[in-house]
Amino acid sequence: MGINPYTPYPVTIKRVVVENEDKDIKSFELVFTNPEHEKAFNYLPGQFAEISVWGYGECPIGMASSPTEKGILRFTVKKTGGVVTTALHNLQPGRQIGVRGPLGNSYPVNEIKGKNIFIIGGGFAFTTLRSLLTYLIHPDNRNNYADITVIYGARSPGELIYKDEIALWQQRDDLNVYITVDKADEHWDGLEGFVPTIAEQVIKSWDNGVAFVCGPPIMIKFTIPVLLKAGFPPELIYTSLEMRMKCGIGKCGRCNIGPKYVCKHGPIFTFAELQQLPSEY
Amino acid sequence: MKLIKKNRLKDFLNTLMNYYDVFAPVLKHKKIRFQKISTPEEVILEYSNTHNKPTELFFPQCEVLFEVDLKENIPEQPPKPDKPVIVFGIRPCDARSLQILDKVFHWDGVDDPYYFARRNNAILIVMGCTEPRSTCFCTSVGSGPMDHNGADLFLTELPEAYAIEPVSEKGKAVFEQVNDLLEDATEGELKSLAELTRRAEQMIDSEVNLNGLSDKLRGMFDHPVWDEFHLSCIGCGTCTYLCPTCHCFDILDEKKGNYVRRIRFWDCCMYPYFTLQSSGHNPRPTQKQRVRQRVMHKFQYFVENFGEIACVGCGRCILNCPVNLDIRSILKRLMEVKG
Ligand SMILES: Cc1cc2nc3c(=O)[nH]c(=O)nc-3n(C[C@H](O)[C@H](O)[C@H](O)COP(=O)(O)OP(=O)(O)OC[C@H]3O[C@@H](n4cnc5c(N)ncnc54)[C@H](O)[C@@H]3O)c2cc1C
Ligand code: SF4
Ligand code: SF4
Ligand code: FES
Repeated sequence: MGINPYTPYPVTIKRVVVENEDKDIKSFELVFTNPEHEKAFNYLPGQFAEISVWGYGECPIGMASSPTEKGILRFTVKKTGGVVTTALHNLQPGRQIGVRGPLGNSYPVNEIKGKNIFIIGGGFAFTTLRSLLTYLIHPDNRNNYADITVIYGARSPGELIYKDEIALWQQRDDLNVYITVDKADEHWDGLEGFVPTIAEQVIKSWDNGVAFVCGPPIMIKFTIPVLLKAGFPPELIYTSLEMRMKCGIGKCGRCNIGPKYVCKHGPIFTFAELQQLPSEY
Repeated sequence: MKLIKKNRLKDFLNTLMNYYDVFAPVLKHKKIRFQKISTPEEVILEYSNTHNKPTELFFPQCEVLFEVDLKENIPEQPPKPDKPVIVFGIRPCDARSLQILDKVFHWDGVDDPYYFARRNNAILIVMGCTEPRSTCFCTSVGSGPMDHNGADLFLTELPEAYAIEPVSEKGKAVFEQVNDLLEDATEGELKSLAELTRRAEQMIDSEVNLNGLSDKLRGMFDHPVWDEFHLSCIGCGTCTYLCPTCHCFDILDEKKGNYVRRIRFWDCCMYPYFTLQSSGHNPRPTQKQRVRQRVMHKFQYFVENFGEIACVGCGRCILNCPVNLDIRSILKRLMEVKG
């Protein structure tokens, strides 16, 4: 962040990718107008930024790109029907928007070296997990981690995001990739079933693992018991939380869950930390 | 000890106005609030406290963060104030509330540049309270009517003069600027100052024992006692808009011709929209949860994050709540029940 934590860096939309059949999830690839800003925007997987669409305002979005992907910043945004996400979805490549951050804490990419990694995602919340996975499998980093398992599911085949990349991940022999849909269609030859069910089949024991779980609340709710049953300590189960936000820097008082501010102490929390918090989220 | 005689207060203020923009309590729309004065005559001296919180001078109800022309140019620096400011006559509780806001606006070293541009530019001339209101309970939250904490200069009203004590370095500099107008206190005046100071604390007649409250509250989130307080609350938000330690805000864009301005303005945890997410999910959908949030934030969460209570006992929320929801009764009840 610069001198003024409220002013965004100008960025230009380079490419827009429609990610799903419903066409309400788009990825935006952005480039910084000023190279100095790109240097200053030093982030890790799991962090987020406030995206500005001039005249419409700001909203917090997790980084879907990895810091290992130089020159490009990527966000995957679902159009909720709200003010900012709708405005963003109407923008074409070439338009200037603003990015303020990086904000919040990150996945503990250094602390988890040497461990078996389980990445478990559902729906479009896979965004920051994509950032994490891309970071972990980068040639500079891959050897720091043991086995990497990815379990990712969506409602239907058409709702899976990052399809081209999934195909590439599936071809690698250093990744265990399980892609599932709640309901298959006639073209689908992959797994069928909810993410927690697949997780239960795949993850039999803790085995020095660490798990990252992001998705709809219902998916998280049913996945965590699976991990606990397999023997995962609550301190090694990570998830990303969401609260309505404005400032992103612990000042506007909006995003607290008990004494913890999701924009500052989070958005990444361990299940052990969540057990200490009031259930007001 | 130095004094400024009451009949010379006008000269005192005029001298200050030569060097500073002076803000003082004035009557505006039948309410007393701090405003920039252009003559000493505007200043109201008989007041227990202002209706509006003086923290609004540093963190205004609404302000422009920056303007962008739609082609380029995002300014990096907040605008600088031009003349140094004196806040004359702010009460000790309100001066302390600024120290509380300082903590939020400086959390983990991330400074809020708009707040600190004004804060660092201002000198506080605090006026001790010789006639506290019945709703004041500053002594219960670690302060008092003669608390010098947060003051640059401290004034105490005597029958014919104001005793004036420099507290900070900034205060000393102002003290020098007005030195010509000051006189030495007589024996009698010194005695009267000591007497007033002693008596002031006793005049605060509402006392709530808050010993151990924040530790106790940590385990009380799900306590049935929270089912009581909100029943009369109509969620109007008056309590937060007047509270000098409340700091929640919203940020929005406003389009004006080719320019966009990003503004921020006070927001309020007593409103359902405060936490409403775009998906329709609301983590605090009921007034019970919102009242609990307000109390817990001030008396537990803030203590956990910053080591002190975020209430200075000014009593504004008590005096102005349309349904007489009294924070002191809530606190007493919380202290009473088995945790
Ligand atoms: C840490 C974090 C990461 C996120 N990552 C993503 C992501 O990668 N992709 C994605 O599509 N969405 C993400 N979201 C959710 C996204 O922020 C909301 O969908 C978005 O704010 C809706 O904005 P709006 O203006 O369209 O909605 P409106 O309903 O018009 O909301 C108005 C304003 O309220 C605030 N707000 C409303 N809902 C939320 C919310 N759920 N979370 C935070 N602020 C909110 C925003 O400031 C928003 O501009 C994330 C949220 C958080 C907190
Ligand atoms: S002023 Fe009183 S009625 Fe209004 S929100 Fe506060 S407690 Fe509720
Ligand atoms: S909670 Fe009430 S008494 Fe305490 S500082 Fe705020 S307005 Fe004053
Ligand atoms: S978003 Fe403002 S405090 Fe967290």
